[in-house]
Amino acid sequence: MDIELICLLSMLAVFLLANLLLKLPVSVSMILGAIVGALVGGQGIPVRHLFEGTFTYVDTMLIISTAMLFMMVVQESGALEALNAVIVTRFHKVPALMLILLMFVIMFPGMITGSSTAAVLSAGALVAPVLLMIGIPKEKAGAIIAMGAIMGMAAPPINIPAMLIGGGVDMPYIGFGGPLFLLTIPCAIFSVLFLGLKYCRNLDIEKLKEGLDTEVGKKYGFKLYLPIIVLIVLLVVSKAVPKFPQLGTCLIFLISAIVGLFTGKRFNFWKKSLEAMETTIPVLAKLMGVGMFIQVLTLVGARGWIVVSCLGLGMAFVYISTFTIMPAFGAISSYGAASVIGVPFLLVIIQNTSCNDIIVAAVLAFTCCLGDLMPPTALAGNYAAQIVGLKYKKVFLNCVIPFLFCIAAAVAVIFNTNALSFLSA
Amino acid sequence: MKKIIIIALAFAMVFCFASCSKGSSSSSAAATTTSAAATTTTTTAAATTPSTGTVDSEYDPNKTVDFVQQTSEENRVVTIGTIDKSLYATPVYVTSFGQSTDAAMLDTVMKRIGVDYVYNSTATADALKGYKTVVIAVGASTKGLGAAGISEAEETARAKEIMDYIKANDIEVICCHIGGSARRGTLSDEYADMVMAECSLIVLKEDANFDYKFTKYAEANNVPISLVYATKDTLTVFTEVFN
Amino acid sequence: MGYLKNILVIAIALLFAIPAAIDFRAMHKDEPIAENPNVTEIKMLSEYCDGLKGTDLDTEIYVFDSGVPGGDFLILGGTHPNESASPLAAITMVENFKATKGRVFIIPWTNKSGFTHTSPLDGMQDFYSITLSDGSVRTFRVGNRLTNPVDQWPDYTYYENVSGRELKGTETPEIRNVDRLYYGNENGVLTEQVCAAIYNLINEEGVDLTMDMHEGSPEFLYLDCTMVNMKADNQTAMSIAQSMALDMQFDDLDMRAEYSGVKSYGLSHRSLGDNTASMMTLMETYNPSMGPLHGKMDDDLIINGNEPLYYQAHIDGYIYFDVPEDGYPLVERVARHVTCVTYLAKAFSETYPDRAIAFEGLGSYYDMVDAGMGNLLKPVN
Repeated sequence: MDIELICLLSMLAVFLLANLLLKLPVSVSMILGAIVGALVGGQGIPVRHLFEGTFTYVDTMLIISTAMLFMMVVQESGALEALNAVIVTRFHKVPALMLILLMFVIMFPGMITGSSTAAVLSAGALVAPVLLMIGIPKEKAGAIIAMGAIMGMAAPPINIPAMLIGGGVDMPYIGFGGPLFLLTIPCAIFSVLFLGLKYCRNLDIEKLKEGLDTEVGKKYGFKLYLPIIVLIVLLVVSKAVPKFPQLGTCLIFLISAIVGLFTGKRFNFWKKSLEAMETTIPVLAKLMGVGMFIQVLTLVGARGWIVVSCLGLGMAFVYISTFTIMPAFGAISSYGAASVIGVPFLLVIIQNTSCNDIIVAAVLAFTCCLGDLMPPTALAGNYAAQIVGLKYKKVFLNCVIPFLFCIAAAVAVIFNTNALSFLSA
Repeated sequence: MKKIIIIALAFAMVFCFASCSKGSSSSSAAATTTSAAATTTTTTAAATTPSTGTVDSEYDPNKTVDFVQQTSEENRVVTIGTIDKSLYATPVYVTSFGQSTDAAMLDTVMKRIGVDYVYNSTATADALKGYKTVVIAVGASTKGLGAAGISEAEETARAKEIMDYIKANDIEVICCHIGGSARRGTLSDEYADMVMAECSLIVLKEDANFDYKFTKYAEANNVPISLVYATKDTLTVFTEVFN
Repeated sequence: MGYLKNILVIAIALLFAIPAAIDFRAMHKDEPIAENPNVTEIKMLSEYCDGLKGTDLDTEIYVFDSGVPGGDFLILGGTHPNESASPLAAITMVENFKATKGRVFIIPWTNKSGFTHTSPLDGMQDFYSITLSDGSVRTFRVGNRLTNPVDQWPDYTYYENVSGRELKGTETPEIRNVDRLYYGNENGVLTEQVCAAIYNLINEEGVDLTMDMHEGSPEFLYLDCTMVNMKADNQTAMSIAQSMALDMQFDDLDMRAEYSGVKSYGLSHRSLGDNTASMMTLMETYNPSMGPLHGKMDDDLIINGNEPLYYQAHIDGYIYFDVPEDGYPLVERVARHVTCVTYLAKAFSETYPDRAIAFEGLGSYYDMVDAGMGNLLKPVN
């Protein structure tokens, strides 16, 4: 057996043991896996490598942290609640459009934090009662929230698996917006309509209004949405106008968050910031663990070994694995799937085909995100089930068809990357 | 139960990786090339152009052709047919069809063998006035054309003009293809065909003959062809031709 | 209790951070170069661009002046510090050369800041060691192809360099790549000032011929290849390069010459060639440690260049370069660079006898390979 394979197996084994049996956090399990991998690979405890890997994603971590602060401000100021109320009261006569807009609300926190957990816990928690009020059964509402959170996690501007995969092959996180929108928006629309449309035929608006907070919107008016508008404008302008002053994503989130402090309900910024950061720390820790894991994987040669072995088996194997093993790996960690499998698979595909590398990376990242549905970890799924008061099993079964639709969309895109290459420009 | 499922999944994945290992080692054994003393039999898995790259070759990287090479490290030059050296009067004019760097290599070769020659990679037909022998390096290079600021259409027009002049003035032509398999493609082949139609000798770096295009033509048209193993062996051929 | 937990967490973090910091700091110390009495002067690059003075990017220029009138040859090593054979070939030349006609300028650490860090997630070595014939050990750094962000940060999301190359999208980190910012700008970012200093050096010293030594990962298509700039006198430049290639082929060394890409703006061979009178060349050798498919990273991979994974990928038909089964040792790559430089000078001198450049000290390719790095490098105190 090749030494690289032994290293890989020992890293995975230690990770699984630590995570599943010792119940250690994913981040700590990855660190242990990395240390054991380095020891098995004859590298001792390579402190410099462990340190270097840990800080690879420091830019990403800063973005997630500032995005989380922004999300907290938007939620606490009442903007999200007001948005729910507006969508339902304005669009209840067109239920399909209403559902789609509610889906976008669920996605929004995931889009800007890159975390499905953030989406479920913030917007998901706010939209769930609305969905139940409309008459959507609990298991379907749970599935809508889970799928929305995952689509939000995968949608731009922040997609952490895409950053992990890109980082692994020295590809900056630029040009992913188009392909990720193409993948996530149709899938999100299909999911919400498939799961919820038939329950929204005859809506009683007066009854619905009872459950909504329509006051906050009336009280603060349009300015409530200013932070979201500032965010979108700055993100779009800094991308569309290359010579615009270079603010950077972190500063844009912070500016937008500061705007939000003066546009809606007052709250204790310090206390809420600490709470928001507390929910974010595990995500940041995971990124550090993933960085360390992949650094050691490369150091001991296991990354190269995976790619060369896959090359030996042919492209069919790579494509099949992309759409089966990668989401399945999400049962352990979708970030882990991105770094352990996503990076080598991207290398195989771009070395072996003339595919557009950014679109391939986007598809791989999208597939990794779907892993957040996989039990037992099922970050998005478990939280969504918890919100609607069910066990995850029932919610999971309702996610199967939308999940397969997403896989089909990913397959369609990966085989047409060149025709779609304009999206990554 | 869930734990058992996930552990089973993880093991399934691990076995996938394990099977990768077996696959790669067996393919290694299968792909070992065989070599004999005089001739080398190779299966040209012509993957010389990774799709992400931009080399000038255009031929299908997945095309596999059984190719028996006649030249080898020991037998570096193989000439099929008889070269009539008396045809090639000096001074010689050296030019390029396709602006690849091969013409500059011919410039160096001519300099080394000390023949009386003039080299201009972008020569026009008028420049050939007074010359009885022209050596043309065929092979298109997008980099070379770009560097020279010449479009494909302009280069093709120049080539046609030169060939018309050569036909009209009864000039001896040596077709020289020394860029190897990387210098095969639609445009390169077009220039090669153009020159071969009028030439009295073909000098070819043999790996470019992977589909027998050149030897087939030489045999059908009774044109002598000198196959060389490496670019440097053109020195041997031209030393003999120009004595 | 809460405080205790915090202190414990910080202590564990420091346990990793302090040794790592010591490791990283060690990369800021230049490897010593053995004294060579034939070096006539050691200049600093900041003499050609004030902005570099006192920064991590200021670097030494070793000057060999033969005292015999002739041409000037500039040899750049370490443009990309992770391409180990490049700085090592430059150091080997500095320790052994003696100019006999004209002048030779050698810069071993062109992007000196790049030598102070490694590329995250690539699992690169920070150092490798070579045992000399006297038993002493010399250690060399493996850096990163880009300037350390500690010296130049952040990367702009859009940057247009002087030669017209737009750095955007996937190219934004290249704002820290010396070989994307030629012909430089004295008022630009620090990396660009290095380019400006080299541009000024070429102009002020009247450099006739420049070689930028590089290595590439096995996936790269231009290995064992020399890029040559095309300008008004292009035929001569390419013929000089082809003469070098032919000489190398007669030594049984694969070598070809290619024109600079038309749009390779910002690269040395294109933009310095376009904007100075010097004949610009850039050569690449194979370095498997740089490729994403590399196996276990250690001294052996860097020094012996033996990577079975790449050999396998080549056999499977995925790697264009003819990956040698037994590896491509560092000494062969260094010798190839030195040989290329030697034959270039020879061909140039034959073409322009009044600007002849000549040097001695390292012998033929096979002399160098037979001697091994342990003999080519000199002991240092």
